[in-house]
Amino acid sequence: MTELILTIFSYCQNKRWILLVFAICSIIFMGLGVKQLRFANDLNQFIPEDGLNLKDDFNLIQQLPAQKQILISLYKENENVKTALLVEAAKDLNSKLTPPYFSEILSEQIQAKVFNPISLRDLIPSLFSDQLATQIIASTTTKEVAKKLAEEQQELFGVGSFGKSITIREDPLELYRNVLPRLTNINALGNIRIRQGLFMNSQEDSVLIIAKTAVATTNSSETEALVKHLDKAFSELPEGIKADALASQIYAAANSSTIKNDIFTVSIIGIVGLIIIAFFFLRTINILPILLAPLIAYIAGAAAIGFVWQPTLAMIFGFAPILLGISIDYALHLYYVYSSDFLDKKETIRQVSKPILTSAFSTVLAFSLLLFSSVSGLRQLSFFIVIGLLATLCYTLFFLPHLLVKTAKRKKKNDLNKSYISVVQVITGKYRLFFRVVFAVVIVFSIFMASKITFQNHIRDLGIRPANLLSAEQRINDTWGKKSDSVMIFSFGNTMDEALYNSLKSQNYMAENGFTPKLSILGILPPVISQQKNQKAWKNFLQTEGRSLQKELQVSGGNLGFSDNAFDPFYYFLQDSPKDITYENLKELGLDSLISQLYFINEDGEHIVISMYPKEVNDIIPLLNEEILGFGSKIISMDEMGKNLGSGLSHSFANFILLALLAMAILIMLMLRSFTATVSALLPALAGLICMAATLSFMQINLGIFALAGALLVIGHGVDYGIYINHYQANKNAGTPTAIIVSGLTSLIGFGALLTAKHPALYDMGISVFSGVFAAMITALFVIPLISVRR
Amino acid sequence: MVVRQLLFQLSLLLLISVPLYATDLLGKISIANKEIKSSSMDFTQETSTIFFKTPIVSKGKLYLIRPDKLRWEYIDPAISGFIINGNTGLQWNEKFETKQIESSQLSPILRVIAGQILLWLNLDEESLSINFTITQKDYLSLQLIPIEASMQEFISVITLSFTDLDYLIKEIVIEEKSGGTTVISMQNISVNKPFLVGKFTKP
Repeated sequence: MTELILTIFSYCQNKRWILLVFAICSIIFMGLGVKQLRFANDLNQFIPEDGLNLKDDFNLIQQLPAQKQILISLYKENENVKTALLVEAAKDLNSKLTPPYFSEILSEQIQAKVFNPISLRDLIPSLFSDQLATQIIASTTTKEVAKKLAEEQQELFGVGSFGKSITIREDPLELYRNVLPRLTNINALGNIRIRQGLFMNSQEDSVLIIAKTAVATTNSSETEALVKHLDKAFSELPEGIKADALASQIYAAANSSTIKNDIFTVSIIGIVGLIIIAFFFLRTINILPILLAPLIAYIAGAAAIGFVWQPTLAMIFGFAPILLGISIDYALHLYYVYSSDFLDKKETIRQVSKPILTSAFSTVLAFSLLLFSSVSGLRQLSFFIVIGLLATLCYTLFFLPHLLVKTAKRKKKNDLNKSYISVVQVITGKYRLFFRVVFAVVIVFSIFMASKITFQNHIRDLGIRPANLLSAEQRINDTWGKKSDSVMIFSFGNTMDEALYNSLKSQNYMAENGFTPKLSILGILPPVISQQKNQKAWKNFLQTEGRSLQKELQVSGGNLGFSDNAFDPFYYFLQDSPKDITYENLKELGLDSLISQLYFINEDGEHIVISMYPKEVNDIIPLLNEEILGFGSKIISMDEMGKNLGSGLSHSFANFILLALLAMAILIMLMLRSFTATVSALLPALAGLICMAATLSFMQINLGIFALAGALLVIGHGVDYGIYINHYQANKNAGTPTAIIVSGLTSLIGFGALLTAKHPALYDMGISVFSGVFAAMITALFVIPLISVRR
Repeated sequence: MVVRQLLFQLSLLLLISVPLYATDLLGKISIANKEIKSSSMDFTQETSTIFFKTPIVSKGKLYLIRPDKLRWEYIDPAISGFIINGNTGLQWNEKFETKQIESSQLSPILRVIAGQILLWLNLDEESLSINFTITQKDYLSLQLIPIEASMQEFISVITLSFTDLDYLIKEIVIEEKSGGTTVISMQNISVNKPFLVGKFTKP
C-alpha cells in the first residue's frame, strides 16, 4: 500500500495538473452534494426502529392534541388585585395571541358556546346504564319526588331564586346532576370553572387561556420566535397580573436558545485557545494545507449525506467536532514527521503512511458498524464521519505532501521533542516502579469508579429544564389541578364509533384487572351499540315508571303551589323519543374543548380515542399490552417511553462502542501482525474510555448519548495516538510526539471550552472528551513507554 | 331637504346626548356614593313566574362593606343566606330550626349570583361595564343588559332605581328570559354605621 502511495506521489510530482483536475472535480462534486442538503429537526430519527415500537409510539404522542396547545395561566400577584383587572388582562392577552404563532384560542370559544349543565339531562336516555338507572330510580320514588320539590320551593324563597325559573321547569328533579360527575372524567384540568366567558379557577384569582399553535416543537427558530412573542405580550400585562406558560415548544425554545448562547461563549473561548496553540506550535506557512484536512472532511461528509439522505437531520452537524478532531490527526502527523525529522517528502510518506492508514482504516471500520444501527440518525452520523475520514485520508496522503513547503523554523518542535524525551527518560528511569504503581493505582481506581456509572434513564435528561419553567409548570399544575397523563390507551378505528367501541373493550378489560380510567370520553359518549342498549332500558323504565312519575310531580307540585303547567318542558322530555349522542351534539353543548383533548384523527385519517390511567398501571403494562392490542388499542406509558428512549439509545450506543473496539482490535492485529503492538495501540483508547467513565461517575453525570458521542472521539484519538506512538518507538520519528501533543491540546482546548456550556448535551460531550482525550494522550506519551521499557 | 337636515341634526343630537345622559346619572351616583363605606338595609323580594300559582314573596336583610364584603340573608318565610368576604364565602339555610352551613365556599352558581349582586350594589361603572351594556332608563334608573351569552340565557334586562337626591339604591328589577320578573325593593337604608363583629364570617 505504501509503495502504491509513493508511486502515485512520484507520478503526480511531475504532473501536478492531474491533482488539480482531480481537486476541481472533487470540489464540484462536493458542491453539488452540499447543494442537495435539506435540513430537518426530526427527533424521530434518533429513535430505534426495532424492538419496542418506540418510533410508532413517539409519532403517536407527537400527534396528541395537547402537543399543539399552549396553556397560559394569568394570576393575581396579590389579594388586592381586582378580578375585573384579571379578566380585562386575559381578554387583552387573547387579542395578542395571533397568527402565525397562534392559530386559535380554544378557551375563547366557550363564550360563543355556553355550557349549560341542564342540557346534560338530554343525554340521560343514551347513558341509561345499570349504574345510572339505579341512581335515577332511587331519586324518582314518591318520597324523593315530594322531598325534592319541597327543597326546590324553599330555594325559590331564598338564595336559589335567581335564574331558577328555567332549570326548575326543565328538570325539577335535577336528574342532570347524575351525569354531571362524568364531566370530571373528560376534564384533564380539574379546577376549571367558566366565569365571565373565561376559564377561571374556583378562587377566581387565575385565568387559563388554552391557545392552539402550529409551531412544531422541532422547529427551533419558530419556537424561539413564539417565546419572544409571548414574552412581549406578558411584559405588557397590567401591574399586579403575572403569567405562566406551559408547552413543549417553550422547553424546546429554552434548549435551543441555551445552546445558541453556549455555542457563542464556547466558540470565543475555543478560538482564542486554538489561536494560542497555533501561535506556539503551528506558526508556519503550512498551517493552511493542514487546516484544509478537517475542512475537506467536513464538506465531503456533508456532501455525501446530501446525496444520500433527504432531508438531513440537522443535529448530525452538532457531532461535527468528532470528525474535525479525528481528521486533523493525519495531517498533523504527516506534517510533524516531515518538518521535525528533516526527511524528504518521499521518505516522510514512507514513514507515516502505514500508521496513518492503520489508524484511519480502524476508525473507519468502527464507524461503519453504526451503518447497521437501528437508529436512522446514527446511520446518518456514521455515513457523515466515514466519508469525511476517507476524504481527509486521501487528501493527507495524496495532496498534502505536494502542498507542504520546507521551512527553517524547526527548532521549537525539536525542543518540544527533546523535552518529551527527557521526561520519558525520567519516568522510565530508576523511578519507573513508582510510576508503574501510580499508573496501576489510577487505573484500578478509575475502573472502580467507572463500574459505578449509571446510564441516562429518561429522554428528558438530554435537554435542559430551566428552574423557572419547572416552577411555572408546577404552579399551573397546582392551580388548575392538571391530571398526570402518565399511561394512555389509544383506541383506533376507521370511524369515531369504531374507536369508541375499541376503547370500551379495552376499558372493560382494564376494569377486570382492577383499573379504572382517570380520563375517558366513554362516560359521556359511549359507542352507538351501548347507547342503543341504554335507550332500550330508558324506554322500559318510562313504560313502567313514567306515568306515575308525572302524576307524582303534578300532585306534590300542586300541593306546594306550582301551577299545573309548571313542568311541561320536563314532561315533553320524558315523552320524546331518545336521540343518539354524537360528537356534534357535544360540540353544540360547548364540550368540544374538553373532548378534543381525548379524541383526534391522525395523519393517516385514523380515528383515535384516548383514555388515561393512573401511573400504577406502569408496573404491569407488558402483561396487559398483548390483550389490549387485540382490542384495536395500544397502551403507552409516557414515563416508560421516555425511559426506553433514553436508556435504549444510550445502551445501543454503548454496545456499538464495545463492538467498535473489538473490530478495531481485529483490524489493527491484521495490519500490525503483533499481539503486543495491538494491545499497546489500543491502550490509550481503553485508558481514555475508563478515565472518561470514571470522571462522569465521580461527577455523578449519567452516561447519555452526548457523552457517548464524545467517547467516539476518545476512541478515534486514542487509537491514532496508540498507533503513532508504537510507530515512534520503532522508528523514533521526532515529529510523532509533537503531533500527538498538538492534536491532544487542540481537542482539550476545543472540548474544554464546552465545560463552560450550560446545556447538558454540550457539557456532557465536553467533559467526556476532555477527560478521555487527556487520559489517552498521557497513556500514549508516557504510559506506553513506561510499560514497554525493559530492564 | 330641510326635513332631512332636521332629522339628521336631531339624530346627531340624540347620539351625543344619550351617552352624556347615562354618564351623568352614573357620575352623580358615583359622587353621592363616594363617601359610603358601608351600608345595611331591609329588602323585600317578589318573584312572579308562570310556574307558580302566586307571586313568591320573601323578606331579608343585607349588609355591605365596600368593595368586597356582602351578607345577604332571607329571614321570611325561610331562612337562608350567603356571605362574600373577599375571595372567601359561605352559604347557609335553616333546617330543623337551626342555621346550617351548607358549604364553606359558595356554590358555583351562587358565586356568580353573589358576584353580580355585589356589582349592582357597588355601582362601580368600570366593573359593571365589563358585564353589561349600561343605558339610562329615566333620570333615576339605569338599565343593564348582559353582554355575556351565559347571562343572556337567563336574564333579559336588569333595572336599578335610585332614591332622589342621595342616589342610594332603591329597587332592583330582574327580568328573566323566561318571562318571570323579580323585584327587590330596599327599605330602612342606613349608611356608614358600624356592624357587629362576625357579620361577614358566620351566619
